[in-house]
Order: sequence, then structure tokens, then C-alpha cells
Amino acid sequence: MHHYLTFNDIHFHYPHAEEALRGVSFTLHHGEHVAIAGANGAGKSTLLMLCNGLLMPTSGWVDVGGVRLTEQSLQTIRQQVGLIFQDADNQLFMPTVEEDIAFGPSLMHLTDEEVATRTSQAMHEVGIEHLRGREPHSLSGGEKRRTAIATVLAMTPSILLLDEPTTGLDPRSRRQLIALLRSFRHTMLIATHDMDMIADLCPRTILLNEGVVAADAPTEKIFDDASLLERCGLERPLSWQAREF
Amino acid sequence: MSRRLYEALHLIDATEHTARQKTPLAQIDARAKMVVLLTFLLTMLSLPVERLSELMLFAIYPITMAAAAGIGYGQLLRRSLIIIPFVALIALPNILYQREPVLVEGGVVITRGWITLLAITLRGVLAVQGVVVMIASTGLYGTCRAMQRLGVPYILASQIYLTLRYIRLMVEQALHLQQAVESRLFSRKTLPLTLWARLTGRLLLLSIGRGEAVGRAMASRGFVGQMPQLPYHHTRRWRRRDSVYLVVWCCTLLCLRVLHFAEMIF
Repeated sequence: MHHYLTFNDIHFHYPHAEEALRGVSFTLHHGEHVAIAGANGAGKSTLLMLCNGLLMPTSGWVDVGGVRLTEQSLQTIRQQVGLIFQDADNQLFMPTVEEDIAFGPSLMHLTDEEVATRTSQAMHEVGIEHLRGREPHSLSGGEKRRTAIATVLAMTPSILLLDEPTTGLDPRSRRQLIALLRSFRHTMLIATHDMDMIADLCPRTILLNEGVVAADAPTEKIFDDASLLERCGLERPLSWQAREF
Repeated sequence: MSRRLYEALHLIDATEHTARQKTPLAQIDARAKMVVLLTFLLTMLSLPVERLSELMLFAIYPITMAAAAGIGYGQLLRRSLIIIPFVALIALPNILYQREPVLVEGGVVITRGWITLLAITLRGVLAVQGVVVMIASTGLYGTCRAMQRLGVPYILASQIYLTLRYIRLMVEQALHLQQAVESRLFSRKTLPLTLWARLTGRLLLLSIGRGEAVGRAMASRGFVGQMPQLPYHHTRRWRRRDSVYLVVWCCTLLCLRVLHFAEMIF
């Protein structure tokens, strides 16, 4: 399967609510790190959930690595597309960290040895081997976030979707997370309004404004356009603002 | 109230924590433990009311299993007493409807209704003890997984697991809600009843929302209803000791049920 993702004229509305996404189209290419930026309520999380079929578009289609998103292809797509939720507490539901990380691979018809190997590798990749037997709810915010990432990495997806990954993290945990994400070779789509993280991680940014794509361009070009950012309820990253002084 | 909610959370977590200890009972295959538990429940619950004294002999199962699971029986007894109000509520009408005297002692008339009340209460306490020991030695996930392996439809086993997980979730949400309310109570010590009703509704909505979010996370990782076998449950393969455990306990429980030990002893 190729590691790309295509949204074609996607419309989506929640029951008894206004349209959350209107005519969204873009293509994510193999290995790209792309940010989806927008103010609260712009439709970022909705867009991510459409990528792995947690929500199905009202109209339009989604293509993941050449496979059209349908009810029948959900399992195939979910093995390739890993979604890390904004609230790590919603992602962790097993009694221990190790069991939580093993949950996904255990559903992939792998042998016990393969599951154990993947689990260990995922823990090693995010640096949480020491948390193996801990209960997820007793972890710190940063540890929960790393564990949530590991639960998805263990399934060896080709595309990673992250919803506001730096929310609630202290500065050190945030820096560590950004360094970790920078080391990944996966195709990544990050929904965030942490503009400094976008500057660090994502050469390309898609701006969402009230469910519509306001811009899809190299990050630097978008950050240069202060009025565009302001229209979308955003600001330049602090590091960029410092330059002006 | 915060303290009680914290204690409830601690109790749920402590049960899972106990299940991960390497105790003798934890080494037994979960299926064997499940079959023995079912045998215990069937034999104990089917004992006629007239054999009340023999009902107490069934306590040998939870007492022995608590020791094998590394739990003090006192702790187990305290946990099981929580069922008493519910069981008593069901059994109380018997005092009104079953008034034939069974025993007269020193001027005190004990009617059949009181015997039935006592029997139902005792059965309830013993049943809860059996279930708590099962979960404490196997974990919630392992218990539901054992049910699935024994042929219980996976939807039912998954639902039981998710319902019990949901209870933890609800207690957590209740704690957050209670803390939010308390921080704005100032000098008031109690809440008006109408506010309690609203908070209960709010709690339900919050926990449903949270439950849906967890459901999405599970679906994202390929969950379609069947709980997977995880490679960290160390009692996966059936061993001779599992057979011995199964046979010994089933025979013991059947003997307690069939043989009239009270007549033999007294």
C-alpha cells in the first residue's frame, strides 16, 4: 500500500448540526509531514476522524493508499492509518501500558512472539519501557501521550494522524514529543494550533477556516501572510513574531 | 464524598493490581476458575432453605480462594457486605409473607420468612465473594476472555467487560464533577435536590461521551467486538494442575450440595 491520503470534495455534517467540512480536498504524499491548522471548531478533529473511517463523509470520497474508504475497507485502512487522539485518556483503556500497546497487534492475527516484539519495539521507540507494568491512568500527561503514540506505532501504520498532540504538556514534555515526532519517517498529518510546533515539524500547512480549506501551501508562505492567519483565528508562531522585533 | 469516590477508584484498581501478582490462584487457567465458580454458584444457590447450616459450609470456597489469591478474607468479607442492602431489599418481603413458625427459642418465634431472609443474604454475600475472588485472581479482562473461550458469545463477554470498565469511567467523571461543584460551594454544605438531579443527568452525558470516545479509540485499533488474547496472560495453556484444581473443587462442591453434612456432623 502506498503511503498517501487523498480527500476529494469532502462534505460532512453531524446530525442536526451545520456542515463541519465543506468541499475539503487535498492530497498527502508519501513521507510528508503536514499540519492542519485552524481555530477551535474549524473542523480539524472531524477531518482526522474521516481519515480512518470513524466518521464517513456525507459526500465526496477519501482514498488511503489506493484504497477507497468504505464500510468494507475500514479494517484494512485502520491498519494503515493510526490516529492519536487529543485526549490520551480516551486512547488508553487496558489495565496496563503493555497490554494497551499489545491490544492493536493482537487483533492483527499475529503470533504471540510477533505481538510481543512489536510491543517492545513500540515502547522502545517512544522511550517508555520502564512504564511496562504501570496502569495508564496513573501516568503523567507526557507519559500518557507517549503511551498513546506507542499504542498506534505497535500496529506499524504507514500514516500517522495526530490530534493536538502538544495539548496539556509541560514545556519539556512538549520538546521531547516534538523531537520524537521529528524522528518518525511516517507520513504524518497533525491537527494543531500550536504554530511553533508547525514551524518545527511541518514544511506544509493546510489552513482550515469554518470547515473550508483557506490555504494549502508551504508553511513559510502561510506564516508570511499575517492577514490570512488572522482571518483563520490564528497568529504567527512566537518565534516568528520575535523576528519582527 | 470525594474520599468515597477515590476509595471506589482505588478498589477497582486494586482488584486489577492483585490479579497481576504471581499467586497460586493466578497461575490457574482462567477457564478452570470460571467453571469452578459457576459450579460454586449453582450448587450454593440451589441448596434448599432448610439446609441453612450447610450453606455456611460453602464459605470454604471463598475463604480458601482468598488465601490462594493473596487477599485477606477480612478484606473480601468487607467488600462483599456491600451487597447486603440490595439483597435485603429483595428478601424483606419474605418476612411478611412467610409467617409460619419454624423455631421457637426462649419465647422468640423465628418464622420461615426470617430463615429465608438469612439464606438469601448469605447466598448473596457468598456469591459476591466468589466473583470478587475470581476477578481478583484473573483480572477483569482475563475473566471476560475466559468466558469467551468457554463459549459465551463474544458480544456478551465484551459487553460485560466494557460495562465494568464503564463503571470506572463513571466514577472518574463523578469525581471530576464533584470537585468542580465543591470548588463553588463556598459555605454551603449540601446541595438542593434539584441540583442533584441535574448533576446526575450531566454525569450520565459526560460518561456516555467519554465512553464513545474510548469506543472510537478501540475501533481505530481494529476492535470489532471480539476481545483479543494478549500474550501477557500467563495462564494460557491448560496444565495438569488446572485439571486437578477443576476436579477437586467440583467434587467438593458437589459433595457439599448432595451430601447432608449437617446430619452427619450433628
